[in-house]
Amino acid sequence: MDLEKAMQTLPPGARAVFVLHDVEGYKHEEIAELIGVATGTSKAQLHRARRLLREVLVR
Amino acid sequence: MTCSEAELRLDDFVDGTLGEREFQELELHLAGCDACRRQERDLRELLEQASALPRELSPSRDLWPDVAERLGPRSAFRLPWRGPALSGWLPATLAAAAALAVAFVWLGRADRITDDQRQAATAPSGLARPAGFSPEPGAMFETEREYAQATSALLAALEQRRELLAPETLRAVERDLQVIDEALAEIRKALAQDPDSGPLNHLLASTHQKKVKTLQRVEKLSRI
Repeated sequence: MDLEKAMQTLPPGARAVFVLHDVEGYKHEEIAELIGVATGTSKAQLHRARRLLREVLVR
Repeated sequence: MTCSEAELRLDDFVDGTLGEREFQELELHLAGCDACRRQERDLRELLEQASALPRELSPSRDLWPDVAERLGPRSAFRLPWRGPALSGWLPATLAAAAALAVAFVWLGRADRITDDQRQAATAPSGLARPAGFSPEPGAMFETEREYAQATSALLAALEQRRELLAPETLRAVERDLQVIDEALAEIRKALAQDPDSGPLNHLLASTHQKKVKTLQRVEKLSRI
């Protein structure tokens, strides 16, 4: 599976943070402001997204 | 350091945001742990692929060059969409918009926003007609018309996909759009008093551009 398809399997919150941080290059503080969550939530969502994507991509 | 502790720190490690002590501890752990080194390698590969994806939703047409030409040279205002990532997000227009929002609250005027302004400020389906929009011929009429078309198209696309967005993201976008629309309404009022003001005309155009960028960003989120 390629990355773009794998990203579609992510929950919306994790996908949004992954796109903003790892594709668009935004910082957690900026993402928190943009999507209305705490900075810690942004970090947790990114960790979750990266872990889920690695799991999907190595299958 | 255990493998679980290492796994929790890998994100900060590859992002370069881990403190020095933890960085050294993790490096030591990775040197002796094949499984965690494999995790690190997979993570770096993932980030490399992610950084190779397109970074911006391509607009059907960038309106700014035409608008800038109509408005002529500009002195004090920095374009809000220039610069890397979010560093170009806020400076001139959103700061102005945020300041206006604060001013609304501070002056206790939030409850005096007219129904038209409220309708124009309601995202994503509220852009039937911009608040305070005065259809007079001239450069700014053309600018308003073109940006209204651009935002309407984006709002329509967003409306079709809004269920794909997280509720907190929708709330944040609606909040941003409301602030921007309120700023637009205030700028139009000021322009009605001073229609030839270069800075005000530039501020109106750049605030419109800000709205387009906001909608492009969220529309992209709904598509990926």
